[in-house]
Amino acid sequence: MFTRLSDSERTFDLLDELRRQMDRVWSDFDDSHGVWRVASPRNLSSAAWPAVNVFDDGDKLVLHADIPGVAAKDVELTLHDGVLTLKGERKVEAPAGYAARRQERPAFRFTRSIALPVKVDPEKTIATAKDGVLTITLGKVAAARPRQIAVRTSA
Amino acid sequence: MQKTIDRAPNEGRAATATAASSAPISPRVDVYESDAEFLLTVDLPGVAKENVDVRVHDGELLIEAKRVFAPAGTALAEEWRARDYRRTFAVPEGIDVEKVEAKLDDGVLRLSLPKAAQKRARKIAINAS
Repeated sequence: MFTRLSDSERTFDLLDELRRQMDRVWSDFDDSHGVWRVASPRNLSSAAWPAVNVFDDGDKLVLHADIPGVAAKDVELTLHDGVLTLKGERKVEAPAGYAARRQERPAFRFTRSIALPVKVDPEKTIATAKDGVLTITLGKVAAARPRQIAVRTSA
Repeated sequence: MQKTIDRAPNEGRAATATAASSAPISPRVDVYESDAEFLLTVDLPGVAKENVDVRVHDGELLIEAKRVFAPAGTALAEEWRARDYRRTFAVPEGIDVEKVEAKLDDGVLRLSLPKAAQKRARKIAINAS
């Protein structure tokens, strides 16, 4: 019912592998300095980005995507043939004049397509971003909304 | 040498989390250093300003944040859950605790930890004899 069309997973596997390698480098560094060290390698999952929750709320679908560090203006949303696509870039800028001591937050471009389980009305779509969470409300077309069926007794 | 730093090495995302696992998540962190300060950036999606708690005490930096998520309707897909964040670091000596500043934008916490004046690196002039 809910299909994931995007193929950014592979990119994330690669990013996570880079992270693992970086952690090893850092543990070497940390042995001599004893600061900013992690006690054990962290197991960060390599899932599609952004991670998304989808709720069916009767006459609308509501999608919540975690996009920390991405400004609302840097996300492009398209709705085509029942597929919602989120596209954008997460920028991570190292401040000038600073040395990096630990880097776990990757910068990357992302594209994620989500096949919607019901027909929605593009005119009834609202997207807002707050605290690093993108909320997309998609109004269903009339035919896809739940309808109350009156049950009559046959007397 | 200082020991113990990250006490919550859980996964960074709750993608496959079951209802039973409510332990806090370790957020992803970048650490930068200049002569004057340490700068931390922490991914805290879904956290409001008033739900972040940062403490520096006894050479330890503690970052805790509470995530609130109360959606309406039936879940069709749940790749993340509203779990709290927690991370601890051993920090170098000489941080000016009074001057630590925090800012939260687009789900990213920026922490500035200034070094105490006497701890900053100073260039020593070498005089020729």
